[in-house]
Amino acid sequence: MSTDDATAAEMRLASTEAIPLAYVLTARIAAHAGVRLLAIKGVVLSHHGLRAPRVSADVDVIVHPDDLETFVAAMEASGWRCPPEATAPKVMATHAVNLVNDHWPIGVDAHHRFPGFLAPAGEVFDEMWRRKVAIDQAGHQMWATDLSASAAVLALHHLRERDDPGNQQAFANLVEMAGSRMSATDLVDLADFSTAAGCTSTLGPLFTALGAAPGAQHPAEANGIAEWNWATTANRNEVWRHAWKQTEWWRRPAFLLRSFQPDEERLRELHFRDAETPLWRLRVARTQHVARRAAEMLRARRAR
Amino acid sequence: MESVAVAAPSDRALDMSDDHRPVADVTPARGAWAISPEVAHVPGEDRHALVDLAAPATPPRLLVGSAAVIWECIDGVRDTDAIAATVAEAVGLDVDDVRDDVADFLAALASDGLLVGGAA
Repeated sequence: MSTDDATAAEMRLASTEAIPLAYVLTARIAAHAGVRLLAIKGVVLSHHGLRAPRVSADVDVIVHPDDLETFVAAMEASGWRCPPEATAPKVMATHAVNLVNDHWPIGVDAHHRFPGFLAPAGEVFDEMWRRKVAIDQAGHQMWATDLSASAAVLALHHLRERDDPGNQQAFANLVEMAGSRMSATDLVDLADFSTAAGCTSTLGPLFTALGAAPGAQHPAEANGIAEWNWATTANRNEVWRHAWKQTEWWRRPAFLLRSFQPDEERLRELHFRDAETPLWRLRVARTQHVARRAAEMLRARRAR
Repeated sequence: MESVAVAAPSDRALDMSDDHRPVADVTPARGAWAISPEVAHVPGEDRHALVDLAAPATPPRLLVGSAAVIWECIDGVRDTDAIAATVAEAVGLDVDDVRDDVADFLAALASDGLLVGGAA
């Protein structure tokens, strides 16, 4: 008796199957490496009633920043690997490591910080860990962020590019679901969490939309709020220009080349997530994309 | 892909051994087969996806067809004969025609660490 008679298509792990398995697998690998790990986003949001269930492209977890290297090494020992570093210009510092595995149809995003939490990343993780809740995944329990931390993570995710219509709609959906899901006590707890994690000011739009009173600010917020406000309102062209200005002159040719035609793995991440699309199509798509962006930037420059 | 063992658990990891505990008790009845507590599995439509958490470098498995039928019979109560009888009924064959295949498959799963119990 074997499974050899199944067709190749049948034998591919579906994302709906892979996600709970990957969550519990990463939890197990982390525990064996002595790393505290929390599930965030994805199933955690539907668990708390903050978002309708949906199939994600990745599994998101967060670890203490001091544990990231240990966790990534443990994942690599189990067959996962980090694709080449992202080459797309970003305003916000790298906050997650994406891990992939040829046997899995999804990736694992290992966060060590999350944009919008302005307190030191270690403090934020410790506060999330202190509040952790257990969720069931594939017949096993693992730790996940609680209601307040989950609401904050989702809200900050949508507020990162607040001019994007998709994010605006998603934020409105969160407000609607959180409004019916969170009691007055929950909202006070959200304010307490925000104070501890340094996101009282960055979550201002959420508190306003929910009609809730924000708590006191974390001392670190005074230093980080200006950068957050700029980063969350800048468009992609501004982000690219910012990265260009931050790059030393002798690195700019390589920067341009990487921006124009990154390696194949990054190309697939940027334009086509499936592995079947031929490389030449990726290159064409990338060329068209860069041409459009360049035209946008020129038009914006002339308009100024 | 070959199995790659992860580092031996540290004291801290041992303190966290409950972080991923299975939800259900899987202690099998005498002679019965049970799914190993180290296995995470997700039922699908006519198939089962599973991962052996004790061997995290091992690729995930998919059981389809008769393998999935057998997997669904593994409940910590049924032994090899009872599972063979259930499978035979499900596929419309005589139990004598499936018993050896079922026994071999159960033994293979146990050898891979996916099942516990089974000894009469």
